Amino acid sequence: MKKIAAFLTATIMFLATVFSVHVLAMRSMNSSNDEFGRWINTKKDLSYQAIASNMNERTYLMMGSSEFHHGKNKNYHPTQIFRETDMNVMCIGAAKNQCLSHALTLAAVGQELKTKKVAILLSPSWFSKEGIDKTSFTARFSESCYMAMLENKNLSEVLRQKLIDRTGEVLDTKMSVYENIQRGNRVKAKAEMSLKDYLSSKLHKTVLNERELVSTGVLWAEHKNKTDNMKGKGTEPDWRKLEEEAQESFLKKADNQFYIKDSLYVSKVLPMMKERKGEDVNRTYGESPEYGDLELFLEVCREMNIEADLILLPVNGYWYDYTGFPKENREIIVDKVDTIAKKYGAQFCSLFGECYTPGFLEDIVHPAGKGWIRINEEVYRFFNEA
Amino acid sequence: MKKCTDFLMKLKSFIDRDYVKYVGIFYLLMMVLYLYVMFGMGSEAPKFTYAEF
Repeated sequence: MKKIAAFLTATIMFLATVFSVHVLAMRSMNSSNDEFGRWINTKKDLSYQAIASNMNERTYLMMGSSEFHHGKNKNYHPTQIFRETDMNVMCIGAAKNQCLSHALTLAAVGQELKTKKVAILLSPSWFSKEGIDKTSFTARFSESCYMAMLENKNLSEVLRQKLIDRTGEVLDTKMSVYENIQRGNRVKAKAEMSLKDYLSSKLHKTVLNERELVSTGVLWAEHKNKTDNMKGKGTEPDWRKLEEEAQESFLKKADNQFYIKDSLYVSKVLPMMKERKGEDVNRTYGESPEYGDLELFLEVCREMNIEADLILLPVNGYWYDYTGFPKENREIIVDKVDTIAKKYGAQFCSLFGECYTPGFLEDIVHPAGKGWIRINEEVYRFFNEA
Repeated sequence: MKKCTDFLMKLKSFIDRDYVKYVGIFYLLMMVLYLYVMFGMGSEAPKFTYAEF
């Protein structure tokens, strides 16, 4: 009797705790704080609620991958630059986010994007022969964004089915998330399902939403307390002056044949040089499933009346000369992306001509100060044009 | 007043050390499960490596 009473008491205490956490997380998430978009965090990127509830009429979307995490505290990083301009730019992406995961996110949150503009940083490394691998895609897969995509009334059924089919091709079928989305697909299709399946689906959705709310809310509350949320000057930066400063500072620290930052050259590149010499002779950016995924991304933009700016990043030309990656097999990516951009009426800014510009990249693929200034300048132009 | 006092006396005798111990254990178990569901579940995030470039 005592144990039963104790259990009931503990349950009441537990429910009260859960409810309090829910309310606090909810208040934390709906913060109307521009800093939220500049917060580089994968939990945020995976949460439909977090992204959608923090978009307002001034939010622009900037999507990319590892470059967002690889230098987020540096002065030239978009989060720092756009804080100064007082623009609400929401950065989404981490290592292994590629076109398909961004297409799903945009298909979920696109209707909340009132500015109707998205800039996407395309890394040439995405365009491998194999495209995105299952493990990486699954790790970056957002169930809640996928579910929101299924329920988005502004998407045509044809496009929705393409997204469903493509996701089914690349999601790791061994993971439980695959079962979850199959169930979600059946609910969406109003297919016959058992009561157990239906209730299971509803319960899973509730737990998923709560998990995202709490985990993101707590992390955001912690991060928010560390930032001063000062308003920026609201003026356009002097890009040329910033570029000069960045270049001067960087070149002193990149004294090697590849113009890679010395500390990275010594710790990351030197150890693999022997192994990588001449290894890329058969490599090409010419054929890749990623081009199809890029088209899916632009189809989502088209259906949701969102303007897209495709910004093609360079790679370290000196490094790839060393590994034997044929130049023509690299450069082919420019024409291919340009063709796709024209087909969908997207803007295209190719920075691929900077593959041999010392100081543009700090390693094989990630922008250094000069690179970031050019990227941010293009993004600023695009977001501010009428 | 007398009924209230009687009730409080009974409650006081019921809420003994054992009761508090069991409340603590059950609450802790529930919280551990909750924290695991909220923060612990999910696939391993891929890390960036230079070798793949």
